[in-house]
Amino acid sequence: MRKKPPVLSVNNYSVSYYTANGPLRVLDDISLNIYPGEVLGLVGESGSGKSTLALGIMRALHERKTDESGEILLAENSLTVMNEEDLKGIRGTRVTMVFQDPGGSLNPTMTLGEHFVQLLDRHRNLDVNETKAETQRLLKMVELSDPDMMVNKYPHEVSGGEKQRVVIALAFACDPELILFDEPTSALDATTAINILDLFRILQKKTGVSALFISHDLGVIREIAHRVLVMYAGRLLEMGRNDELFTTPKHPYTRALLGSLPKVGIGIRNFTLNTIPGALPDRTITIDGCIFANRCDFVMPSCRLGEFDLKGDSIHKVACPISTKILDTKSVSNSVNSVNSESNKNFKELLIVNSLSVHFSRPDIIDRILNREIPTVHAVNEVSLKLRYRETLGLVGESGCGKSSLARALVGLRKFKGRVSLGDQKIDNINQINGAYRKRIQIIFQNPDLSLNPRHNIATILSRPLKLYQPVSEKKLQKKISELMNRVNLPNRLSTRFPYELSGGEKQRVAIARALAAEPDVIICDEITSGLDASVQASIVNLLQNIQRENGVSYLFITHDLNLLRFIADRVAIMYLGEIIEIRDIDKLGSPPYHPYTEALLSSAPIIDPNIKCRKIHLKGIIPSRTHQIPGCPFETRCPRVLGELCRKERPETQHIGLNHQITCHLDIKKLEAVTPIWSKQITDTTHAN
Amino acid sequence: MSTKYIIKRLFYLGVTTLVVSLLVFSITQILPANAATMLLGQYATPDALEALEKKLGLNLPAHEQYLRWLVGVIQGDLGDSLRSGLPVNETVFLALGRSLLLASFSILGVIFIAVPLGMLAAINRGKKVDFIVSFVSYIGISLPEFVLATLLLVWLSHPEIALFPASGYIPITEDPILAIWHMALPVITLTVILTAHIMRMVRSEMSDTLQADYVIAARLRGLSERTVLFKHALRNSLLPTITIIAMDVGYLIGGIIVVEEIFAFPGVGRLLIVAIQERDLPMIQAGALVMAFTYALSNLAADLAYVYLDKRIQYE
Amino acid sequence: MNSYLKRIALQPHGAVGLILLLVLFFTVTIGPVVAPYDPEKFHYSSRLAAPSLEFWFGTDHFGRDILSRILWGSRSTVLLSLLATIIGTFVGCTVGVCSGYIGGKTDEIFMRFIDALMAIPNLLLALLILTVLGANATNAVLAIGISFSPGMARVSRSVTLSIRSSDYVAAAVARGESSIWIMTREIAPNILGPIIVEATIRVAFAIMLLATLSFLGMGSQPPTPEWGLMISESREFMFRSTWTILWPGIAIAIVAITFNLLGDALRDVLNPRTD
Repeated sequence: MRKKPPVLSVNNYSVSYYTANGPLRVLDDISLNIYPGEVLGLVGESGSGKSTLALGIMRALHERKTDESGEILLAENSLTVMNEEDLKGIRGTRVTMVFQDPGGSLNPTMTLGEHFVQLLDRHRNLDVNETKAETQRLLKMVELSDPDMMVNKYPHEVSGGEKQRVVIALAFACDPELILFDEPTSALDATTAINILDLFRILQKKTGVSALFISHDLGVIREIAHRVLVMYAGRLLEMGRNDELFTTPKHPYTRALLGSLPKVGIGIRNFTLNTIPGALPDRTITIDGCIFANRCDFVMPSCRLGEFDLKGDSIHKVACPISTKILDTKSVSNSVNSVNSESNKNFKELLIVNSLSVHFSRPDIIDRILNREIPTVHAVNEVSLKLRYRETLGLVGESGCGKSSLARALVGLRKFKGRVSLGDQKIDNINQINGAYRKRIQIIFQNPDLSLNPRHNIATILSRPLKLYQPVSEKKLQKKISELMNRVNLPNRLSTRFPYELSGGEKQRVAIARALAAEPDVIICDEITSGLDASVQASIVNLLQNIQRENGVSYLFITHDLNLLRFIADRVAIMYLGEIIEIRDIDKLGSPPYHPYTEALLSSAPIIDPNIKCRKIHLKGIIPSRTHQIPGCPFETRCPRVLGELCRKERPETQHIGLNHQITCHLDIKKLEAVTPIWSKQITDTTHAN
Repeated sequence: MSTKYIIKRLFYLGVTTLVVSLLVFSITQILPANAATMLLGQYATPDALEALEKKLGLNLPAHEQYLRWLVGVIQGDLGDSLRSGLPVNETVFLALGRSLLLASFSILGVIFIAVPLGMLAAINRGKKVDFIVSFVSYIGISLPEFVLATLLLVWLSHPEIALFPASGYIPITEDPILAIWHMALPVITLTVILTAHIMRMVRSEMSDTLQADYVIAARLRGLSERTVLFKHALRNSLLPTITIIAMDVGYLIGGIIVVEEIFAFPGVGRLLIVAIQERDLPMIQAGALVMAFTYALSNLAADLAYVYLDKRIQYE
Repeated sequence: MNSYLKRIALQPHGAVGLILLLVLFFTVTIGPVVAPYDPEKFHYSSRLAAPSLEFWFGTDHFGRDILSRILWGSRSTVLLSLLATIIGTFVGCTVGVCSGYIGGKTDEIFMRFIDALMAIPNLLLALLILTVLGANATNAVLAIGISFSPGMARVSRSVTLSIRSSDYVAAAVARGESSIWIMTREIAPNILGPIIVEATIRVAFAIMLLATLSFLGMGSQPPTPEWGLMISESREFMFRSTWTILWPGIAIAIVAITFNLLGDALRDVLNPRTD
């Protein structure tokens, strides 16, 4: 592979944006090569400049607003000196791009087929029949069922996964030499993402195309890349072959990054995640020395002077001269800050939810007059669960499973049917929710940009719950606000600031403080870490654990990230299409019996640890619409272990196994217990299946 | 397109028209001068007044008068003009026809001028063309119709220049060319002002569309600039433009009233002004109702067209 | 506030708009004071005169100095238009925000009513109202204000609806805040922006509408030097002296442009489009 000349050569490429505060250095002297048949993974957190690199390679950066230097070569042709005419000939044919948002790349008023027609017309000069045939071939290639029907569909009529397949088909249509992927799976559900990754792996092997695969998700990179590049604030810090880099990362940043990720395979409930202190550097100022110096645990005076290029052999390079000195034998695991906490299996029940249902309907005047059936979405369907004191119950499910609706119903934002008992209080419908209830159960939303009023400063935001629930004098109020901010590790000077002046992590801490102000018994966290970088996520999780230890709060922690749950939850409930299909303890997450959906979900969690092997399960089938009551099991259409008519016609019973485990399935428990575990230890350090 | 949606919209149209009729009726009924007094003059004897009031049904309670009128409207009888005594129908519909002629020419002008110019400005955003288009449209939207109309009269109908006639109307069936010559100035006035509005909207919509992700993705697939502009950007910008054109029918109606007055064009706008000056109630009510109904109808047409063309809403 | 002004000034149309606004401000405040002549004084010897050193803008058919009339007329034109817009905004927003916040059937009913009102074009509605109330400047202001209300109600309602579905309002509801608090402290501060933009642009409409009404004889009455009225009075003589039409026309256009520019600049400042 090394003997052939590279497909893509980036040499000393730098990009600066012109901003109101001066030039912003986004990419600094980037050099990389991608060889034929190779997938190069590019890892970096938000703000690292990776998207800019992709757009730069496509020569799609805004001319007037950017300053570029350096060279980009595609095979032997220099893209940086090419004119627009020639570039147009190259885009879509020799180099193609796949973006994060599949819906965004497709024109909503055009059929899927038309997208192909335009592309093939432009680049391949086929006649009408040939175009039709070719479109069908491409759609089949990306494993889309019913290509004839697909051709006439509009983007909004198909799912996210299907759209991304279409985009991939378009990318492969003209037999490119290089495909650029910019976070292609980040917007997809885990089970869908894994199918897309597998699809690409197959196609890549078949066609031998090279790829630059950009992602912030180390797990995804691990799955798909042959070699990995680590980028931080516009500079490359480390480059290595996949296993090399993940087994023995050399750069302190890479190690810290890997260390802040929750890992699969071990019961690690009481460990804290490693975080990276500090924040991204200000790139309007030129920085001497190592760009990571300000946040590095091992920084030395020599790190602040001179230039730091990637140095090493062809398999592993690092931009840190002292990396060999700091490389100890300690493998990258999470820090052993285990705190003893008593088993909470014996705590009393605090929140009991009984047969809760949430329905959305939009009755029309016409419907009302004609007395027709009103289309209703059954978002949550007779859900029952229990939350104990000082416990964290995780709630997992993919998009559309109803977890947010459930959360909102519990805090009085949605009408519901059923019963909620919080301690002594029993609530049967939304009108019975009073101040006393609201004080005891608080909610934190996913996106702090949207959950904090942009016109209120932090002090105002925090003062509201205090005034509502524990009215005190002005002076005491200021003191309490100050205490709250300390509690969530926010400096007091931020109290006069407005949300837009704070970072994502800081904003989310404000949201946490706001929930804490009421001194609640239960806090519902609705995907609160989903938009955050790994290290910020880690610090939030640590904070939440801290609060639970000191204040004794219970959490209902909603997330789609199974790995994260292992760090924070005691038990987990799994939701599918509005129903709870399994509840179990976290520490035994890896052992069967599993509900078939849980099995698939677990298998879709990306594994970074090279010592762990994961059994892969691919779900095929369509997700049924939620506007009709489903008579049988909601998972029936995609279940790999489906029993047939029984699953379609009859509701499965909830089977209890042991103290804390329940599965709602027709399958016999004994059969489920006999299933092979999802994760197993790898004995030899085999290379990842490439 | 679902029949249900059409029925729903027609239902709303009906409700809207009903409310409009109520508004129009109640507004005009509050007129201080009693219709009978107007007809007979202020020296009329009380008996004569009473007799006429009874004849006109003015002594009935308000809601009964309204219902009588409404029933009449539905049957196509809009009452009799207080001034001429003739049925309002013929006059109003004849005038409406002429106004629609004026409006149609203006809208045609707008489509062929405003849309291409707006597109041009959006594509060349920030450059000279854009600047000129923006500059001209600012002036266009800041000039009331009567100012532009009067200025055009001064410049083009000045006895010494006499490029266009200052007023007058010739039915298009009699002599098409002469008819158009007489309609030229009013149409130009309306077109200029409408163009300014729509040009801005097209520019703004198209600008937005050009920055959309799918347009960037299309470019990055190497599609020709022409394909990107026409097949992607323009197509998607036209949808909102249709709605805007429908809304501009509202401007048009306001503009028509003024323009017909200035150029003495015998359309429904001039009819209304005259009716207001003469306190001709039935005529005022009919004129206002007809105008409002036309506007509501055009909005409905735009809504339906939008839904038909935008596949996303259709799916709902 | 200052940061907003700065950002507006940085935009090309914002800068021009602000300059014109300043000019307007001075015209309205000191204009009449520095006017060379009494706007109602007849100068029989120089009627329909072209601009000269004596009369910078020329004179009308009564020999009145056009410049002075324009300076004096600026007060009624601008102030009355502002007043009309404020009325329309206030009434419209109250209805729109409440309707949007309460939602449900109340909202539907209000919206049908608003839709019906909006089916009558502004000029038509104003004319109808003035027919009832009688034609004078005060009533014209009222009529314009009323005809603007439905439009403002629609805009404020749609903004309210979008804010109402935001998470920070949800957080407030979940906290158990009272409806009044939510409307005034959570929603209101966030709708100010779009409303101010809309209102600014409406001022331009108000100016044009007022001038049109006066032109048609349904607004200001003679001898008020209202610009629309000036044009209508000079119609008979327009072929003899273009100036009587031109200057008031330009004045109207400039004031309308000012607020259009400002409105657009405000809109861009409040909704920055990412590059």
